[in-house]
Formats: sequence, structure tokens, C-alpha cells
Amino acid sequence: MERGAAESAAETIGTPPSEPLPIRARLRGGGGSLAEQLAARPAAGAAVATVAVFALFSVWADNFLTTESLATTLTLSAELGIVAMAVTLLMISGEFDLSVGSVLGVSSLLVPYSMTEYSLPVGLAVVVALAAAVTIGLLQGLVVVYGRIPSFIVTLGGLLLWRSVLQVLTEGFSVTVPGDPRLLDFFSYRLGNGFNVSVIWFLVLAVLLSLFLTRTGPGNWIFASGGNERAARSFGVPVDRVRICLFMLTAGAAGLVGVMQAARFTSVDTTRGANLEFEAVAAVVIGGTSLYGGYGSVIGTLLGCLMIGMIRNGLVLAGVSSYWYTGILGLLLVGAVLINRFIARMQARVA
Amino acid sequence: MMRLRTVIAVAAMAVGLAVLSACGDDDSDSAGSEASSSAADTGYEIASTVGINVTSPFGRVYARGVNDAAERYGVEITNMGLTEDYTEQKAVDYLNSAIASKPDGIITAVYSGKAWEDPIKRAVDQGIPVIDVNSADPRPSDERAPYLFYIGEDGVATGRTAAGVILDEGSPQRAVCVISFPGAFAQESRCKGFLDEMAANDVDAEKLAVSPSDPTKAAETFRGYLTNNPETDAVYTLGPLGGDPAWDGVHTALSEEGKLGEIKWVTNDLSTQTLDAVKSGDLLATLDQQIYLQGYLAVQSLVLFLQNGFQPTSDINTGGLVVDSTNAAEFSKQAEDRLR
Repeated sequence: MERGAAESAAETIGTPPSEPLPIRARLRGGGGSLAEQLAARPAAGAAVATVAVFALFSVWADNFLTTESLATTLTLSAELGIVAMAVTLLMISGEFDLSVGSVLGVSSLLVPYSMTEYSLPVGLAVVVALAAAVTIGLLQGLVVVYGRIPSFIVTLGGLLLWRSVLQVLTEGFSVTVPGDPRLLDFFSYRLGNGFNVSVIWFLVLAVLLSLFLTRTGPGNWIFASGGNERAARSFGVPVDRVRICLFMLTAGAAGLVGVMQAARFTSVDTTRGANLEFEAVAAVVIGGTSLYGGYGSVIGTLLGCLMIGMIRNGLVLAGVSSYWYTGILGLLLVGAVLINRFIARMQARVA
Repeated sequence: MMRLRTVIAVAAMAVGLAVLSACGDDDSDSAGSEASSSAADTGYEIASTVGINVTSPFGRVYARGVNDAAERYGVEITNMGLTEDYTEQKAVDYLNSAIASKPDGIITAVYSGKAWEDPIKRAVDQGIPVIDVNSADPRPSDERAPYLFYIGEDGVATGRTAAGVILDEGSPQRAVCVISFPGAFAQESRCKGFLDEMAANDVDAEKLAVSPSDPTKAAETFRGYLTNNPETDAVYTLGPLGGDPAWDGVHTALSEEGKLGEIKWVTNDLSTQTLDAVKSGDLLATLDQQIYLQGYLAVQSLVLFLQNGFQPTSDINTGGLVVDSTNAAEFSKQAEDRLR
């Protein structure tokens, strides 16, 4: 983009460039006008876009503002969001996880599989499923940190390996949860008006993870690990341990969603979770988190997920062929990165 | 111990070694008597190069049909099908290497006429007869690849049948065909037949695409559609219940909205869960394309052709066979045994 054009655009939207602040200060907002504060936050672009998408579909799609529609949007956002928020923390720490979809599939399968093959009670089956996910996260984290292999490669390997394990265990056939265990309601209960208990998980986790990231010491370690790793180490930040824990958190989140899907749909097949990794990374990036680590927010990701949910639901309600969905998501993704870069440049220029 | 062995066996299958042993050894005593005199050990080598993933539930039933017929006629199956998900490139590569091995006959599945035309021509020029299963060359019969004939479903006809089953119950207000792989010929042609037939009867009908891999998205997309079109009272889905994320998603959404048994619902293919839903009245019917029959008939037809040049003069339509409350019970055992 031409320098002049960028500057005049900045004037047009009335956003006075703020000075480049240290990361923590930027997260808290640097003071000054509301617009200035917004521009300094990772979620600013996402917030504006969320309002725009919401307004668009409110006008365009007849039933978008109904309770049922809101429930659909939230349910669509919830499962993606639970995974994507964990991925956000991992990406802020400077790492990637491409294996979330396959891990989701494995843990989802382990619920009915351990019940039918090993006659485990449902509670234990859920524990096995979640423990398996967290263990996978631990393994991948150890390989990344101590094997010094980029997480992109390790988790790409994981994506392939765990999907294959899923196929080997099932011999390609699907497995069904026996009986109708009430305990699974904890993960999939229908709350009325189309609301699903997954939405509560989503919102509670959003608050917890956001507070953890922005208000605690370990949260600060995450930023430090992804920002300037050497500096972080010299200040005594346990970068390796932080990253391994985040790999476990991410895999655990994928495992939780796997259990939710097993609970709601009772049958699990080998495709479960496929392509989740792309949508999760898309949601994180749309939410303003940097691909290079050190910068981002849970709230941004939450907004990214809400947008993805609104678009998916809104297109159906507007009667638009769902063939458009992935295309629009792609445009939104690239658009979000452009906007975020634009904001960052404005900040840098004033320095 | 048993489990360990199963895992090892399946792992071996994943590299394509155990495909033959994985398939059933049921006696096929209903196979017809016309070939009984020459049944034993014809010694033919037949290559089955279908682009069906034979480690998938669907593909394994196909492979079982092929193997049962091969055993019946003493035919050696030199290879079976893909052991990974289909791509056109892989399927055509596979066909090409089958031709190079010069078998007595070839079974293939044509998913797009053009890519298959040259290899099939080459096989026929070398005197190797080819039979097409599962998916016909979509072009008119005088332009299509020179295989002997096609054994399988006519997707458009199946879609019309689905609409017919619903229309027999009275004209719906609005009907929807749910698709999970937009652009895939088999799915699109079923939807086309369904929508054409509904349009011919002045019923508002349209196509809705849902996620093929995420049941939550499929369920919520479908629920969104119902919110927007609450008068919808007929649904056509394109696959079996109990595993496929798309159809399980629709099933869950219908159940959660309290519409099961109320909405007129037809689907494709068989599984234990699908039959249960037919028996309970949640589904009006399921349409079975009888993939076992496609595999079995293809081998049998090649044997009959190789022996005495027998061939039907038109394609063989294996379904949509209508499975509804009147006959669902008969098929339960077969679905459990993975014959359907």
C-alpha cells in the first residue's frame, strides 16, 4: 500500500495513530481516545468486523435475530471456540498445532470404544478420552521442545498419525455409545430454545483463559515466550515448560470437544474432526493474534469464532447456497490480516 | 490378545496387504445356478480397480461381494481398490497399472468420463473386457468410454424414487435435499432426480449443503434451515445413519427439534441404525444401491463373458431398492453382517 494512501485512509477513519507500546501496555490499551484504545488492541479489527457481520445479516437474513438463530450461531461457535482459544495461547507462545482435528477424533472415538471394547463405565470412558488427548499433547510438546523440531512439522505428523490410529482402531467402521448414559448430558445437554450446554463451556472457558492470559504471571510468560524468546529465557521465564503445558492445554481442549460430539451424536466415525485445524487457525488469525507469536488475545479469537458461526448460520438463513461459505471465510481471513497489519503500521509510523 | 491381533491385522490392511483376508467367507449359495457346471476354478485373473476406499465401511461391503464371487468361480482377484481416500489421479493410476498387468478382465468405477476414456480404450484394444460399477460414465451412451456395461445405481432415478416415496404419503409443503459433497456426481445426480420430481409435482424444493466431517456444523446448519423454513416437511439425505457426520447431524437436529416421525424423511444405503430408524417410523424408507451386489455381479458377469461371451444389452440397475417398514426387518441380519 502507498504510504500516502495509508495515511489518508487513517485520517478518513479517524484513528489517531498511537505510539508503539510494550505488549502488556498495548493489551491494556494505551489511554487516549476510544478509537485510539481500540486500535491498540489485538481484538479491535475483529470487534469492528463482528459488528459489521452482525449488522449485515440482521438486515439481510429474515430470521437472524431470533432466539433460535442466536442459539445456532453460539452452538456453531462454541466447539470451534473451545479449541481455537487454546490454540490462541499456543500461538501467542510462538507454536502451532495442526493435530487438533485428529486428536478430537481419537478422543471422541475413545468414549464409545472403551465402553464397548473394554466395558468401561461411561465416567471412566470420558476420563480415558480426555487423558489420551492430554497425553498426546504432552508427547508432541516434548518432541517439539527437546527434539528441536518445528511444531508445524511435529503436529502435521500428529495430524496424520492420530487419524491413522483412529482408522486402525475402528477398522473403518463407526462405533456407537451403548445405552443412553445421562452423564454425557454434562457435555451435550439441550437447554431449550436450541441452546446447548457447550455454549456455557465456551463462555466460561473464554473468561477463565482470558483472565489467565492477561492477569497472571504465567499468562505473561506466554507473551514473553512468543515475543522475544532469548530475552524471556534470560529473565528466567520457563519457556519450554510453558510451551509443553500449552500443547497439553490445546490437545485437552480438542479432547473435550471430542467428548462433546460423542455425547451429542453418540456415533463416531473416522472422519470426526477433519479440517478443524484450518478453521481454528483461521478463527485465531481473524481475531487478531499474530502468526509469529507474542501478540494476540482470547477475546479476539472468541469474536473470530462468533463471526464464523454467524456467517455459517447467516448464509443459510439468507438462503444463499452454502457453496459460498468457505469462499467468504477465505476472504474474511485475508481481510482480517490486512486490517490488522494496517493498524500495526499506523502504530509504527508514528514512532 | 484377540484385540492385539485385530490391530495387527488392520494395520497390515492399511498398507494394502490384508484386503483379501479381511473380507468375508460366507457361502454364496444363492448365487444362481446358471454357472454351476463351470463353477470351480475358472482360473481367471480379474483386476478390480475401483476408486472406492476398500477400508471404508462402504468399500468393504463391495470388496466382500467381489471376493465371494471370486471364491464361487475360482477367480483370482489381482488387486482390489484404493486403501486411502479417493482422488481421480490415484484411481486412474491404479487402473493404468492394472492394465499393464494384463489381467483377463477389469472392473473399474468411472467417476468422470474423460479421465477414464483412454485407459479403458487401451484395455479394450488389448482384448481385456472392462465392466463399470458404482458410477456410470455421465455422457450419453454412444459417447461414453467403451466398457461392456454398467452395474450400479442410476442416481437420478434413485432421487426420483426418493421423491416418489415421499409424494406417496401426500404432497409436502417444502422439501430439501441435503448434500455433503457438493459437486460429487453421485450425490448431485440423486439430488437432481429428487428436485426434478418434486418440481414436477409443484413442490417447493431445494438443495442444502452441510459439513461432511463435523456433525455439529451439519446439525446446526440443518437446524438453521428449519428455523428459516419452518414449513419444511420432507427431507432427503444421501447416506446411512450411525457414523456419517452429515446424516447423523441431520438426525440429531430432527430429534432435538421434535420432528422425528413427523417430517417425511428418506435416505440412502443401509446400516443397523438406519434400519432401526425405518422400523421406528423416523424414516419413511432408505434406498439401497446394493454395493455387495455390484461387486458380486461384476465378477460373475466377467466370468460369463470370458467363458461364452454372454452380456446384457443394457446397464444393470442395482437400486435404490426401497427398504421401508414392510421389509426392513428382513435386512437387519445382513446389515449386522455388513453384507449391506
